[in-house]
Amino acid sequence: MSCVFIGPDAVVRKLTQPNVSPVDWKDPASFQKSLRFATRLVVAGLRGLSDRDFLAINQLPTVFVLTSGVDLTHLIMHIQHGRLCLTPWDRIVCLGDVDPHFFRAPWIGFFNGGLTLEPSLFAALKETPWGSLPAPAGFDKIAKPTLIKFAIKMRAVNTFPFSPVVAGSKSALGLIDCCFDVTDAVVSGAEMMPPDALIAAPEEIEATLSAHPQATLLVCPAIVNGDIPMELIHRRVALAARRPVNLLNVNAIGTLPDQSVLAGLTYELG
Amino acid sequence: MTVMKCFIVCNMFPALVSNVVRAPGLRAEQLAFQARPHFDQVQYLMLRSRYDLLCRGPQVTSNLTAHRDFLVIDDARVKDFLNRQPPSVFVFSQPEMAGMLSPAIKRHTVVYDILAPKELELRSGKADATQIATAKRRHQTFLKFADRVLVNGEKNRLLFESDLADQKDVVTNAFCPLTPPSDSPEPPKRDHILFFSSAQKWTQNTPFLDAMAELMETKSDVKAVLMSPLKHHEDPESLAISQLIQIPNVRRIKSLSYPAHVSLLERCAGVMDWSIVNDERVNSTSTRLIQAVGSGAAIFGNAGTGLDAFWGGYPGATSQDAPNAAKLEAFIDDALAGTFAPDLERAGNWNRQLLENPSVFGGL
Repeated sequence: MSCVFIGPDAVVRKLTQPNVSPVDWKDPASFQKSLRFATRLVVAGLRGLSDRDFLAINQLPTVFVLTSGVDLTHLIMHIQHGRLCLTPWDRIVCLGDVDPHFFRAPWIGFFNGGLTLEPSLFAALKETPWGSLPAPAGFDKIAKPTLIKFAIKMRAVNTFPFSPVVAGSKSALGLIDCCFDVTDAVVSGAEMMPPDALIAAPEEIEATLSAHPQATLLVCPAIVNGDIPMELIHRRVALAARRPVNLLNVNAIGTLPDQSVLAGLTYELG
Repeated sequence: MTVMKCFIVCNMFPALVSNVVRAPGLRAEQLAFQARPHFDQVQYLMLRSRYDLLCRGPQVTSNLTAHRDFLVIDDARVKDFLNRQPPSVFVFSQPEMAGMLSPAIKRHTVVYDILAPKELELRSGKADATQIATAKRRHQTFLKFADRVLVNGEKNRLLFESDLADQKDVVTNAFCPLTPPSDSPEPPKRDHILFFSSAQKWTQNTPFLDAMAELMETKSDVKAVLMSPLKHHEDPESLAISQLIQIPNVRRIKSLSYPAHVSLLERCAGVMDWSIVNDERVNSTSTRLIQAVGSGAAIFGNAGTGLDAFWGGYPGATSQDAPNAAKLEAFIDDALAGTFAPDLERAGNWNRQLLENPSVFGGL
C-alpha cells in the first residue's frame, strides 16, 4: 500500500498537519520512481495538475482534495474536456472553508464516500486500501482503467441536445460519470426535476423503471455472461417498461478475467 | 356526414411526441388547442424530409413517441394525401412547407400563421442574400393564397401592415404556450431565479450578464440557474459566463428537456432575459419569457420589444438601457417576495382569454 500526493508543498503540508505523519513523502527527485509503486493517489490543488499527471490519475484510485472553489472549477473543466473521469474508486473531499453544499455541482455528493479531512483519513489511507464506492454488482471488482475505457465509449454515445436529468439507485449513480458527462447532467433527486435518463444495473431495472415511469432513456451498465445474457436484459427492460423499447446502442468494452463482457446498453423507451 | 378536419403543419415537434421542443412546436400546440372546439379532428402534420432532418445528428435521441394525432407524410405522397382528404383547414406556421401549398389551395382552406418576422431575423443574423430572398418570396406567396392570416401580437401586425393591407381576414393571435398540468400534489416553493445567455446570433446580452456576475458575487443567498451553453472565448459573453460559473450559488445548465424545463419554471420566482434592443428585437416575442409567465413566474426583460403589447402590462420589471446590479437586485428581491402576484394573475387571465378566443378559428 503506497500512497502518493500530488500538489503544491503548502497544501500537502497543510493536509498532513496536525499530528499526522506524512505518508510516504518523497522529495520531487524521486517522484517518478515513487509513482511507479503507488497504488493510491491524493491530488491536492487541481489547478497545479499537468497533462502527465492525468496518465497516473486515470490508472489509480484517487482522492481529490478541493482546497478552494477554483479547484472545483478546474475539476469540472477537466471532466468536460474528457481528461478526467470520476469512477466509484474516486473520492472528493473538501478542505477548510470550501462550502460542502454544492449547488453548482450536486453530483459531488455521490463521490464523497463519507470521507472528511481529519487525521483519521490519512491513517485510514495508510492502513487499509479504500475500496470502491457502492456500485452495481460486479462493478466494484473492475479496475479503474477499465472503467475509464467504458466511460470514454459511453460518453461519446450518450450525448443529448439538452442536459439530461439523470436518476437511478444510489449504487448506480456511482457510475454517473462513466455513463454521461457528469458536468452536463442534472441530478434528478437533488435538483427536483423529472428524469429524462435512468441508470440501472440489470438487477435494478424493474425497481428503477417503476420509480420513474416517465423517463425516455435507460442506460444499463452490465457485466454480461452466461448467467446474465444480453437477451435476458432485453426481456427485463421490455417487460418492465410497458411501452415499446428500442436498443439504441451496445458498447462492449472488453472481456473481463472471468470471460464475462463489460457492456453498456442504451435503450430508448416509448 | 363529413368530418371537419384541421391540420397543423409543423416544422418542429410539438411536446406531444418529443421532449425537444422549440417555439414553433409550442405554437403548433397552441393552435391545435384553439382549433379543437371548432373541428371534429385536429392533427399535426410533418413532411418526411423535415422529420428526417430533425432526427438526424449525433445525438442519442429526439425521444420521439408515437401519437395518432401526429402524422408524418412522405413528400412524394403529399398530393395524394391532400386529394384524398375532404375539404379541410391547413394551418401553416411559418412558410417553410411551401411545397404543400399549391396542392392545398385547390380544395382546402389555408391559414397562414406568422409567428416571427423570418426575413428580419435572417437579415439580423447576416444570412446570405438568396436565403433572405427565398424567405421573402415564400412569405409573399403564402399571403397571396391564404384565406386567413394569424399574426403574433399587435406589434407584429404593425410591422406587417403594408403586407396585410389587401388581406381580407387577419386575426391577431398572440403567442401563448400551453402549460401542462403539474403532477405534484401541491405547488412547489418558488425560490429559484432563472436567467439566460443569448440564444441567437443577433442578440447581445453581455451588459446583462456582466451585471448579473457582479450581483451574484455578493448575493449568496439566492439560488440562481444560468441556462447557457459554454461560449467560446471569442464570444463577448464568455468573460461574464466564466465569472458566473465560479460562483457557488449559480448552477449552469446547458438546456433542459421540455418536462424538466417546465418543472424548473414551476420552482422559479423570477425569470430574467435581457438583450440590447436592435431592429429585430423591437418586434420579438421572447419564447423564454412567455413560457415563464405561462407557468406563473415574474419576468425581467427589455422594454420596447413585441412583449409590450402582451398581458395588458408587464408582469415584472423592464429596463430600457443596460441594467445595473442594483436594478437586478431590486427585481430579484421583489420576485422572491411575491410582489408581482397581482400582475401575474392578470397575465394569467389574459392568457386564458387568448386561448379561448373563438375568432381565431371561427367561421372557417
